[in-house]
Amino acid sequence: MHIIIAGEGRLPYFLAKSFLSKGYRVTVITSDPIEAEDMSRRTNATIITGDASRPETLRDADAYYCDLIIAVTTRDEDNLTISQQAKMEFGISKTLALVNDPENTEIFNLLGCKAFSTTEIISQMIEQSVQMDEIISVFPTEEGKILLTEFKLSDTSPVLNIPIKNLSRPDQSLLVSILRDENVIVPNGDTILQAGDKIIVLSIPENHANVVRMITGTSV
Amino acid sequence: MSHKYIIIVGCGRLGTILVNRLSRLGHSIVIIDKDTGAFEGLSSDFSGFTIGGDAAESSVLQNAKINKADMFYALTNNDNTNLMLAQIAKDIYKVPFVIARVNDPQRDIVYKNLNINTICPIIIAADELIKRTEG
Repeated sequence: MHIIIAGEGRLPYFLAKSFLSKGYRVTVITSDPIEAEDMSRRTNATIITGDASRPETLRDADAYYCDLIIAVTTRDEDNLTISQQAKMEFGISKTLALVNDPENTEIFNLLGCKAFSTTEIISQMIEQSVQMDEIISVFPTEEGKILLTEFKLSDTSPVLNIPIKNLSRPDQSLLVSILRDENVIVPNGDTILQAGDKIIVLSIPENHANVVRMITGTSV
Repeated sequence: MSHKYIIIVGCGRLGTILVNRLSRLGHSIVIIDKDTGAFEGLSSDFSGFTIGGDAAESSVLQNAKINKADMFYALTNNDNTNLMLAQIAKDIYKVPFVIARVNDPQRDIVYKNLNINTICPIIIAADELIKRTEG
């Protein structure tokens, strides 16, 4: 497999090292000639100096014989152009673009360009690890479009002792199941939550903070 | 020509002249540039809005009410920025009329592949010079 990595700084270098160690062929495109020289001394990757959003640079990087291109420059617009160019001009079907502005993730996907956001990944990791005690785990599904969150209700939770139908529930969220003393309860409107219940709630990322606030009484 | 709501990104020399003239013609203009100092060239009778910010950040285009725009001009001096902005305007916000400036004529093919209407000041100048040469 031949992988092209386009970008500057430490990230392309360490990505290249990791892919090389797995036995892949790696080409790095960087716009910084000093970095290029340094990298060519320290890795076995092919290093090309140039603007990866230009077709001639991609041609130099042997893009016609490439299986995957990863665009990790610091500018979102460059990463988009690199991916689109790779697809249209060189027929590379697998492209991955870094988005620095997390809000661009959706825009890139709508424009047919697979994107990932380190900001989002890191903030999800932090949310999952430094969570408050009530949240047991968060499972993102469908590429993070739906979240399943597992809570353990404390005795200060504001949702206790009220029939579920009387709770003001954020839009697009749903109480899926309750685990009470090892019994699974599928809730209906008259179900009343108790302290110690483990519950699974389905939500979308946009209202996840509202769901957490509603169930724990504290903000994320 | 009827009254239009036009968003222009890039307040360089081209953007400035265009904004001043379009504003005089009675159109509603929003001009966006990263560098707020760029707005100093706007004429005193410019009646539109200026937004200082990076248009590639999606909140900036939303502030400009891109969903209401009749026209969108991406005129920055960076081709990749223009390409991205033009696609966002055309494909996501469905702005009816979108034009992107091409700085490097060799990149024209990328814009063509993405079905984006372009204007390339260098080609226009070259064409004009050839016309005058051939006289």
